[in-house]
Parts: sequence; C-alpha cells; structure tokens
Amino acid sequence: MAWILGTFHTAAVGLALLFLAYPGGGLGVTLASLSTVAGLAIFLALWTITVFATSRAIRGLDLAAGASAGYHRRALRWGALNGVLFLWSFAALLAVQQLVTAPGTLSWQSILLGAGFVGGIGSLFALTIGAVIGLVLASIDLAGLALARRIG
Amino acid sequence: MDHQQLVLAVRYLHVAAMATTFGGALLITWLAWRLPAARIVDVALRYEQLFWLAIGVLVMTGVGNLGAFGDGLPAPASGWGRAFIAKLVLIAALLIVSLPRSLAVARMAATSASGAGVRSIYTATSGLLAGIVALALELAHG
Repeated sequence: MAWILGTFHTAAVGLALLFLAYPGGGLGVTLASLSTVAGLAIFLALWTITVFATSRAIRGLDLAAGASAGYHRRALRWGALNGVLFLWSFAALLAVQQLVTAPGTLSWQSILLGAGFVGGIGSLFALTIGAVIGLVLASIDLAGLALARRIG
Repeated sequence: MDHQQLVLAVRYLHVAAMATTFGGALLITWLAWRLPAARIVDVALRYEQLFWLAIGVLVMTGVGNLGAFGDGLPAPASGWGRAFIAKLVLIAALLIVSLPRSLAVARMAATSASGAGVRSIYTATSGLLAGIVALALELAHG
C-alpha cells in the first residue's frame, strides 16, 4: 500500500510541476541547468523520501478496510517532513553537482550562506508547502479508496 | 559513460518501462475478460507493484528526456507542444484511474472483495496507455 500511494504521490507532484512549468516556456532552460545525473538523483531522492513518509503516515491504519481515522493529521505531519527532507536533499545534490562539475567555484562562504537559508526560511517554506501537498494528496488517496471499494 | 550514452540509457529505460506497463495492462485486461476476478488477483497484484515502479521510472526518465532538449525544447504553442500537453493530460488521467484500480486489487488480495469492476478499469487503463503510446510516437517522430 505504501509503495502504491508513495509512488502515486511522487508521480502526481512530478506531473503537477510539469503542468506548471511547461506552458510558461521556461522548462527547457531550467532542466538544461541540471546535469542528467543530478536530475535523476533529485527525482530518486524525492521518490525515496515520499515512499518513506507515506509508509510512516499510513502505519497502523488499515486503509484497505476503510480504517482511515487520523489520516489527514498524519499526512499533514509527514507531508511537512517530506517537504523539508526533499529541500535538504535537493540543496545537497545541487551543491555536489557544482563541486563535481566546476571544482573551486563554490566557496565555503557560499555553502554556509546557502545552508543557513535552506535550514531557516527555506525549511519553513518547505514545511508549509509539504504540509499542504500532504493534505491534498491524503484527500485524493481517500477518494481513491472510496472508488476502490466501488470497483471491488 | 559519456553524455550521449547516458541520454540513450535514459531513453532505453523510458521505452522499457512503457513496454512493461502497456504489455502488462493488455495481459491483465485479457485475463480479466477470460477469468473470474478472484482467479487473477495474484497476478494483478504483482502487476500493480511493477506498474508503480514503471510509472516512477517513466516520470523520472520522461523529465530526463525533456532535459536532453535543453534550450531547444519546442514551445507550448507549437504542434509538438500541443501533443506534449495532450500526453500530460492522458498521463494525469492514467494516474487518476490507476490509484483506485491498484487500491481495489490490494483490497481484493486482503479481503474477499468481488472485484466486479476490475474488467472495466483494466480496459480503461489499456485504452489510456494506448493513447499515451500513440502520442509518444508522434512526439518522437513529429
């Protein structure tokens, strides 16, 4: 169940980002700034963190049997953590890409400044966005479960 | 592995994941129309696990394929762009159909649910995947 829901959440977020970014016309430039390996690593990080957070959010709930009490509260908490963990992974992977592809261009001052931003305002922002996405996805999950009961 | 080889590896993974998803859906649809739902639960459950692995790989490599265009990614208003947006809409529809389908199969495996709607939803899945493959062909050769 965690695998199905977690991968659904990852794919839904990925697709939503494409829907937001492509019509505006800036997607090509954004993606071109990432190396292929860094892009794949960022997606794998999102996927892993999301499946982990989903598995923790549904732990102890028997969703297949319709026992979903407290799921929204759990989704809010684990969605928020998911957002923060992904932001930290994203920042770390970008820093590693910069260190590998252009050694010597990233100063310690820049790393500290970036870490301060990511650990402070960035984390608060990611916490909020993650919690909202968690709530929205939990509602979609419950709608999916209601439909699943009608299918079989 | 140089950049060109990496781009080819990403494309290979994308096509292999789609072949797994589409081929598996056609097989389960065929089985669902031939056998009672209770007899296909085991194979359907394995397919659902594989399906979501393939969906993750498809989204990851799909974004990788877009990245390979770089600044040359066609504009949304172009013919390619319209076909790409249509493909995104069909993928969204596939996800919306697939979540309850997978949960229904998981529920059938865990309980003794009848699975009365399984035939229809696997048929819809195969139809959506056929549409996505057709648009992917247009995007690759258009």
